[in-house]
Amino acid sequence: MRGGRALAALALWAFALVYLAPVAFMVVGSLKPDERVLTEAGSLAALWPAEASLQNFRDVLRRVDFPRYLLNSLWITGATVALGLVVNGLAGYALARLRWRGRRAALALVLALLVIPFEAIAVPLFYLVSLLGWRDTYTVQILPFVANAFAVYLFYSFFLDLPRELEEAARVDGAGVLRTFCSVVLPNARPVLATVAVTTFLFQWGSFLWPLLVTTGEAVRPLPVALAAFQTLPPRQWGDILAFGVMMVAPVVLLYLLFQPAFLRGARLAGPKG
Amino acid sequence: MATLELQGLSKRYPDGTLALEGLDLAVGEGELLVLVGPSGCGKSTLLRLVAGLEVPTAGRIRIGGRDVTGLPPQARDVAMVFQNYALYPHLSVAGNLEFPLRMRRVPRRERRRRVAEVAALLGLEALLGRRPAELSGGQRQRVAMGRALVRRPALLLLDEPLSNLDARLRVQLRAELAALQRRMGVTTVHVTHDQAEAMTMGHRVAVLRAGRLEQLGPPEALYREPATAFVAAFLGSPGMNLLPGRLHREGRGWALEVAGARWSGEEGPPPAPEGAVAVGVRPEHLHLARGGPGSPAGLTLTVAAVERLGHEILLHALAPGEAPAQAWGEAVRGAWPPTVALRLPARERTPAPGDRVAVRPAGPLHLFDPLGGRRLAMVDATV
Repeated sequence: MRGGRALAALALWAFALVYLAPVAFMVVGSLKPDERVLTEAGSLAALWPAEASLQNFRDVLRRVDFPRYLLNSLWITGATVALGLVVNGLAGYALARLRWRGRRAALALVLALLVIPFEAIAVPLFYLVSLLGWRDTYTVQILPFVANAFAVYLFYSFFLDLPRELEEAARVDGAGVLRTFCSVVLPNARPVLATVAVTTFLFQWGSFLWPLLVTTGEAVRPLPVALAAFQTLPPRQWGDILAFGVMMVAPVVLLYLLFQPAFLRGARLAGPKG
Repeated sequence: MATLELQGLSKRYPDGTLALEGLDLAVGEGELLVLVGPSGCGKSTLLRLVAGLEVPTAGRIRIGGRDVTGLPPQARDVAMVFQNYALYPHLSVAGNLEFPLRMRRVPRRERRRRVAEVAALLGLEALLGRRPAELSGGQRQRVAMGRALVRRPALLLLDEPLSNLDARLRVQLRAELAALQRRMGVTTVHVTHDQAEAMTMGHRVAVLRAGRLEQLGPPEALYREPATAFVAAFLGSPGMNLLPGRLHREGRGWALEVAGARWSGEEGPPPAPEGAVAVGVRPEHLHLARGGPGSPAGLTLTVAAVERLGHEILLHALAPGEAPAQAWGEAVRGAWPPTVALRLPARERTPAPGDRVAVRPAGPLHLFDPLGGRRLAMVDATV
């Protein structure tokens, strides 16, 4: 029995390693002199920085305008998250709580949109934004991703489960519709706000295909496209490329570490029991 | 503090359900009116209409003489305690108590003072920092009450505020709530399906049935002289027994035949038109007959269940055969209790389930119209 458990644990660790190894390779490789990255790639030394330095990071900052890409990505992602929370939150609330003509049809449409992958509409969307003259702008990278069927659906199902009496109590206690939404609904929607913010953030931060299609210059280029361009920039320095990768991932990890406790707390309080 | 007047109030929901129909009702200043009825009778709808959470299909609502029919909830100066309390989970107890004052832009110092005052009144001082999720059911109920009272509303609406509590706590808070209402003197409408709450708390009780007012009056009056078979069977625990009977002339007086037994009345004309009647008798007004089964005056019943409550015994028994005839009105059939209940003193020798017993009336009999359920007469029968 004990042997079986040990074996299972070993198998799980091996499995986990398959996922963790590339990440470790990236981090360790970014600290190594460029020539050792590839020569040690096949051995365990790939995961051990013998002579660690930050030279690769300095090289990246010297060779390309990394801060520019970072700000682009932060702006595009931040704006999409902020606008998305407002638009999708209000849409979900309207679908769940307000009674209006066409509500059922709108809900069915939102659910139907869930199954359409972005790649399927990328080309028609590309023609549309070209017609509008939006290529090479921030707008083209933000606007199409603000309204999101999945986010609307998350908000919708959350608001359905929120006890209606809370809003009614607020109304009787003297709050109008908007104050009720701001003072009672939103504070109790923190779990779903966090979930939508995180998923939107991750989607936008890693978005590659669309910005590749619609941006040509460096001015509005986000990090993933910049990384791809960096890989083709001679001379090909693997240590620099890995350092670029680490620099791209770092803000996400930082945000995760920052918000993880709040996110968990939010999830625990998710069921209003009052 | 204010009066509440409802005039021809009707509510039909979009799905066609008629929840209230032409209701007229007036609640006096400082009065505690209990609205009672089975689920679906429209009592909660009535409360929601008064709060402004629903819009009436017809009729007017006046609070303190002011027509509020078209006003939103926040403009009505009413407070409401919800069945599940609806405390704001993201706010502490203090935050919950303060919320209605903040919404009305009461200055901070005044808010602090009023919250402290209401917390002291309800014994919530030690809980002010807690979240609703950290409170017991009784504590939540108190917080909900405090939140309703803190801004001294013109009208207090209570929507089954005790129904989520266990029985012991319910009885305790029932008394506390009534005392609190008296002390504050706030005009109150209390909705409940619990007839014991109605009997013990209300200055007056309004019994609702299928969206209509069945009877309105002081609780003892409703208990003693129910206007309809429905009110008779609804109030009391157990409610009034209803038995199919037949009234006819006999000699110089009249007689009542009830499930094989014959009870005769005093001299004079029958108290109601001859023919079929629904005979109502309270459980405490039925005694075991001395002669045992077979005695002509005794109504012979088969004991179905015996409940020993310590100070008394409740006997549930089946009358021979007859369920209320199909021809009888829904008003009566709907109220019909499946068994005949007897309330006996604990010292009495108790029959066992399956025993056949004879019972006789030892108190007033109520005769109801078997079609409409309206009370025709209240008589004393001799056996």
